[in-house]
Amino acid sequence: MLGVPFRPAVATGGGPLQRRVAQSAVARYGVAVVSVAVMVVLGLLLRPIVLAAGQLLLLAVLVTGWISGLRPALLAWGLATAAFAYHFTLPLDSVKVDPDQVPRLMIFALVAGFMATMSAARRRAEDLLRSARDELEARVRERTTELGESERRYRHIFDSTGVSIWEEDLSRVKQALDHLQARGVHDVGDYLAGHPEFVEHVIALVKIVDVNDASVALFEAGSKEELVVSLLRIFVPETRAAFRKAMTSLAEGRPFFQGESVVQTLKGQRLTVLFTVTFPRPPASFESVLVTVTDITDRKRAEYLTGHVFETSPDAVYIVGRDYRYQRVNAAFERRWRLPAQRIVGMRVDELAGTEPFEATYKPHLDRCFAGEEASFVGWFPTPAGRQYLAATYSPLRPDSQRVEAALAITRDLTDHARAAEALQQAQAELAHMTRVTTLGEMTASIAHEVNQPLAAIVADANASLNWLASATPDLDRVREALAAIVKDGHRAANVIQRIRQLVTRTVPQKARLDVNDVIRDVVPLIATEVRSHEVSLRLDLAVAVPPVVADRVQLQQVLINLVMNGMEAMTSIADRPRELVIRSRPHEGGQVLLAVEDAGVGIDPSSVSRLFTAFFTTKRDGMGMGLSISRSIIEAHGGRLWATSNARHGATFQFALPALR
Amino acid sequence: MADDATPIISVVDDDDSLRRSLRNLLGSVGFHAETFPTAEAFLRSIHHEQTACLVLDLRMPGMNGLDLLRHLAATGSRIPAIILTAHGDDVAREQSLQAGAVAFLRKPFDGPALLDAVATALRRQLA
Repeated sequence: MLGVPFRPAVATGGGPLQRRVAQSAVARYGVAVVSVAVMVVLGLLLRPIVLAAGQLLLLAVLVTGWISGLRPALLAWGLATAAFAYHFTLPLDSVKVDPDQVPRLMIFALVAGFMATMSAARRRAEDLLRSARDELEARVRERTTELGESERRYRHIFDSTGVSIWEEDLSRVKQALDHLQARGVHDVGDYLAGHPEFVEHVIALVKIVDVNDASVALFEAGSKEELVVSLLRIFVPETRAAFRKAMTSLAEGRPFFQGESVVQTLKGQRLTVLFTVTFPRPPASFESVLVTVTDITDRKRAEYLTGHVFETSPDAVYIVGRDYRYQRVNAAFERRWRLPAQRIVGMRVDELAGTEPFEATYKPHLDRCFAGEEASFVGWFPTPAGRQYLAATYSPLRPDSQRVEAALAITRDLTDHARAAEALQQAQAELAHMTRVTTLGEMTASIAHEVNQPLAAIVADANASLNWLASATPDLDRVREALAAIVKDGHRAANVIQRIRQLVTRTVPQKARLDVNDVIRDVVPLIATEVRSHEVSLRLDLAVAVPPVVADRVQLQQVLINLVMNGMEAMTSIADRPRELVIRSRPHEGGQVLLAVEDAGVGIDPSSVSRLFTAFFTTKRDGMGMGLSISRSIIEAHGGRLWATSNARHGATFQFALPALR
Repeated sequence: MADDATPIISVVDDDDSLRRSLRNLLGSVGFHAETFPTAEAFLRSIHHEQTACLVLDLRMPGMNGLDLLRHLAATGSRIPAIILTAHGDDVAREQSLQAGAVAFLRKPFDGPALLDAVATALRRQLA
């Protein structure tokens, strides 16, 4: 009852005073002395009016307890009790106390003591409460500052980030979905899929609170205001599917949703975006839900293109890691090995392609690739589809470092080409053989003559020898001479047959180092008869020293015979000048050797120059037209060149140049 | 060894070896053989007039055997000629016989067969 008027004073003005007083013990005890003194003076002034004024001393105890705590209060109690006994108990202003005044004094002392302890206790409680409140206030201030900072930071991110962020109020959406579930709909996704009109309703319930500048830019809006109108402005039909999934996640209480979808800008440009929604945890409010939108249109397009090229390439494309294991293979590769990609991925190259090809070819090339080089090779390799002629290129892959992480392999199946080339070679060889045989057929009469000539000489010599031996005195010297001639002619016939056999039987080219002059000399006997029967004079103009060439002897002979036969044919109708045929050998420019056959025939018809070397072109009535074509193929197969020129005066020169051996 | 009484057999063939062996063969039975590498060489030779029998190759550079036969026939020569050829086709044989050849032998020929033909020709010549 006494304390009530003081409460506001203590609560407001007392706080700072108490704190100041509490700082010094002198001040704290001083309060007791001063307050008691003040109350004594006040009580003495009021004592003539009312003796009870002495009870004002209780106030001093109360105040001291309030301001200075328990011990000063006890001092105040002592002083007040003494002052009360001296000034306010009868006899007044005396240390004596009337016996009948003793109860009054004791009651005062008891009340004052009680007040001292109560006031001090109360004071302590107030102090504790205050300090607790102060602490709380300080914490609140601190958190407020933190929150402000956090908010400021969030704002900064929201406004300045390159990612499009949408702040959306989904509370009505949440209500609608809760209501739906309350009505007994368990599978919200299923329900949304079956109720497009409800989906549209939910879309309309989304309230866009804010968007950041990145959103304005991404969606080609003029301002935030244009964009926050409605989600419908950026939705296209495909967006609904992703929206339904997001809503299903929300209904199922998932913490977030991430999805890919197509949206449109305000200008109608379609974008492929990745969007993420972070849902608040109940009971937090759905008034501010953040949705981030990342434009992945370019990435998607690049991914699509790369994926499309990878998957639809007719070439087998695969990626091999440094552990020689397949990391990725395309459809063409699956077809080649007749295994699904999931079986191949993880296999080592040798497990699929075989140990031997791996060690011999794949591994060395992969190692070169892992060392940073491009590596290519071609060859025949075993596959489930049979042997395949494969051309492979390995390119180093460095996804995010300098170190090569894998090899990108592109392999093309050239089996058909290789087989075609082989077949062509085979056909050419057969054709070459055939023309050789045909040429020989045309030359049969000459060859017969060539062989029969020495045989006739042999028979004649043998008969002569028999005759000589039959006489009474045989002339053995003549017999010996004849026998020597027989041996020589026998060899001559055998040589011709030997050369013809070479020409007919061999089909596989056998290249060796040889001298073109030897080739010319080999051919001369074979063509001697033809030369005679065409009434041609043959002249050899051979360089003294020509570098050797690497070639197939028989094939070069064949070419030379062809050129000689052509030259002689060209001179058949010539009657007004010598039918001279020159076979010439010369070192040629660029480290080559030239072999030329020059005739004095009718020359080359300008209209047929271009077709001269094509197959089946012939000016002869019974020719096959293969000779020059085959000849050119043969020379080109030797890395050489065969061509024809018209001579200054008469006829033409057919010549070929071959690279000389260094 | 050859005197005027011995009939001269002229051999015209462009093959060195054959000329030599024919001289051996004819000589081995006592004939006197003269050899010529070309028809022109034979016509130029002094033995031309005295030749009792001609052994002739059909295919030669320059004037061939058939040309020589026709030339001799045209100039009224009555030298019997024996044709030797490595190309023994029937057309050549027919042409040779028509041009006045007395025999046609394919190379390689049998020695006695040639000597018989020469002997027959000489007998006809002397008769």
